[in-house]
Amino acid sequence: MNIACVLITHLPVKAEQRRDPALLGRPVVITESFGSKQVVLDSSPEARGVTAGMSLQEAVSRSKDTVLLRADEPYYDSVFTEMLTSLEGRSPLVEKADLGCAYVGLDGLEAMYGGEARLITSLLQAVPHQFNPRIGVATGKFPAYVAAVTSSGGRASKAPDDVAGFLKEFSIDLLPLSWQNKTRLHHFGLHTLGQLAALPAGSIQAQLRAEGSRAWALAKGIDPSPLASWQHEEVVAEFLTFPSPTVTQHAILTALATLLGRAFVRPEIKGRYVRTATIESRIVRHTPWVKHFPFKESVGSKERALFSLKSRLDNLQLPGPLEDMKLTLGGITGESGIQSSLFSDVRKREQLKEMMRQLEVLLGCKAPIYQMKEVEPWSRIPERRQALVLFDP
Amino acid sequence: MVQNPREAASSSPIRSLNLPAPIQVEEDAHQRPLAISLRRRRLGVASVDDLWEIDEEWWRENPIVRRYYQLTTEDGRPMTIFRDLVSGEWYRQGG
Repeated sequence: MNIACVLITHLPVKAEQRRDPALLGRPVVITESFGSKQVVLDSSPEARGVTAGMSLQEAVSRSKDTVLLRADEPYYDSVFTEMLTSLEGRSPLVEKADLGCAYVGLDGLEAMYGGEARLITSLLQAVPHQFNPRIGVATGKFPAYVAAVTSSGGRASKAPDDVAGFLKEFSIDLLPLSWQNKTRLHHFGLHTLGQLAALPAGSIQAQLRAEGSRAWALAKGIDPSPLASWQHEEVVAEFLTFPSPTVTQHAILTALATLLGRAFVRPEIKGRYVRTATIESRIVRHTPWVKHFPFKESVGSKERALFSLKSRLDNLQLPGPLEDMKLTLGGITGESGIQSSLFSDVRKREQLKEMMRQLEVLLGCKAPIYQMKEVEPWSRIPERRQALVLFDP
Repeated sequence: MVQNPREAASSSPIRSLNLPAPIQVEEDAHQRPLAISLRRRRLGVASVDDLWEIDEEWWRENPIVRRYYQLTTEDGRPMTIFRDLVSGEWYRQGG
């Protein structure tokens, strides 16, 4: 099967530069939080010496006049989702891998596009030019990824038929292995895929277990893993910006009511029900605030959705003043259903037992409550078919 | 003041459902129902929609031999009645 790997390197930085073109040409470092620690998620080429995973202090000391940004992961996800949707318009088989990496099934499409070159050009055009995508084509996902890594921005390259020979000079760092396992391989003096492929599979498996046997197969150019088609969820999103950053409950609920009102008149949702709501807000000097609210019972109107969300927002602690609000309604369905309690039967039985106990106290005898039971449902004599028996929960 | 009699309610563990209830039926010479009396009101039989017989437990002292009529009365009410072919009495029964 022919597979194309569409790779967008430094997607977070490119997404921030698209949102704010003033960042172009400046050293940009995007950080994310790991507990109390701030580490680098991504950086622009102008931030020299800064790499992903580096601590914020080290990054700042290496690159002067750096623009520091907090990671806006929902935004990066939405940018990447746009690209996947665009790729899906060109091929029915698109797999979402990591952020900025997608695999596209090419089989049967060449004839439609008038050749492989035109098909690849079309895939490159599916991604906005400022993201400078790279494409690698091969018969498996891993060789396609390596081909994409070796390609330059806005270009495509194809792995030769001798995949193992093509891969042998590349670093083992390209393998989907944990950092610890990559370090172990380097300690064993195994730096290239060719060195790894030359060893017996059993030796690698003995050291790295299942991860090792997969790594060995990939180093040999064997990647039979199929493409898992990306499941595109139908959602409806509405957005507004606050005139000034706000923390008041009243302003937040008013904004939410406005967004719900807009969303529920959209043709995609009219007359249907939604099961989830996601609220995203940017916060001054802070990572975006994202909250996901599943509805216990799917809702089909603005009023019911607002009623359900209002009670849950009451007890929420906001990390700071909200600058804007994006509401995404998902799980769109044509039917309404109730999520029943797992223990409802048990609870009902307990309630019945208590009710019977009280009746017995009141009457001074066993409560005359009966349950209908089938006795001889096949009988030709009607009064023999069912009987009432004393109910004992 | 009315005292709670504290009488035990029926403690029979099993009760039959759908027991036959005696009914007055006006029949013709062939013992077919012409009219029934329901709450002191005479209701003519508009149609007999189905007819069947059961003959069960013939070996017992009181065998069950019945001729059932599923009929519609003149006010449009569906009803199932039977004639006990041993005693000649009429009964009404659901199901």
